[in-house]
Amino acid sequence: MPPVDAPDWPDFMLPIMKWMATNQINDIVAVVSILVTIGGFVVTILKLRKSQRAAEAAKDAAMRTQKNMEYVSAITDFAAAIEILDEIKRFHRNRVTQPLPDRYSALRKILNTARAGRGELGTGLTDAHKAIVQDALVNLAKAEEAVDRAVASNHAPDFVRLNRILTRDLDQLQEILVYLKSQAGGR
Amino acid sequence: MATQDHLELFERLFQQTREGKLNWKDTVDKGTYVVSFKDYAVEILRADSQEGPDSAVVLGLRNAEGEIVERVDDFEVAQLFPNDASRRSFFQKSEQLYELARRNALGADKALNSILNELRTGNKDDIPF
Repeated sequence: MPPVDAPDWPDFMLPIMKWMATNQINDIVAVVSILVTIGGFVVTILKLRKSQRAAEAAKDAAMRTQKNMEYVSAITDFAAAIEILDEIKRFHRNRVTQPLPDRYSALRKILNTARAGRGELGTGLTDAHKAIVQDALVNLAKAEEAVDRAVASNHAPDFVRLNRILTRDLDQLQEILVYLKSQAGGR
Repeated sequence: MATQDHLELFERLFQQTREGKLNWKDTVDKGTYVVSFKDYAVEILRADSQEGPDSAVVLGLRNAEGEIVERVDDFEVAQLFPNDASRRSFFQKSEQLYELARRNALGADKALNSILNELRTGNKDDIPF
């Protein structure tokens, strides 16, 4: 304990200091300070853990939102691809060749984008789905070659066969679309 | 110029098609069948060979855009074999591969099995007249 009658204390403080020394108030204050410090430390740790959990929850929510956005993008792409494929089949049925190269090209771009996915998480397509998309891309390339050959030789392409093959692709792309919708809906 | 990789491609396609692991499909071109993987596809067809007088079994590799990036036929690959006997054996295998791919793509085996199953169960269930 420091001497209570130290010369630098004002006179009116001396009785108070003496009383504090007699009742060991300094020790009590020291113990209370330590307890308050420990309590503050515990509260800080608890708050830190709470904010860490909140940050993790926010990160999870952001990831889920991003994943859902990617599903929505993929669904939009596949829906657009199916629409263009339907349009191509109508052109085939009506034996109209002029707009076909543009439509084939647009469809190939969309299918490639849909297969690759836009974000880091990908579209959630399985390898089997990607192989179906690859099938459709090969058939489109072959259809384009067949139409080009036919136009160059002034013969009509076998539109019935083209539509039969493209209908199979259309059905399989439709299955992927249903799968993606079910995945997006389940989240 | 065929390489050992081309030979391995023939061999693996043959083996996995025979085991029913590959799903060949009919294409826009008659007599051409394709099996797709996630980024590439392989097509098989018969065509006149540059290496011999007979028709060859041709494999074509198509990229992600569906465009042909490579073609190789069984006459070219057969050049890798040291003697006629092994070449003949390889030709038989490539012919079988084409035939297996065709049957797989057109669903010939599936149709045959389904009909046979129905006939077999039909025979059991039929009420004799």
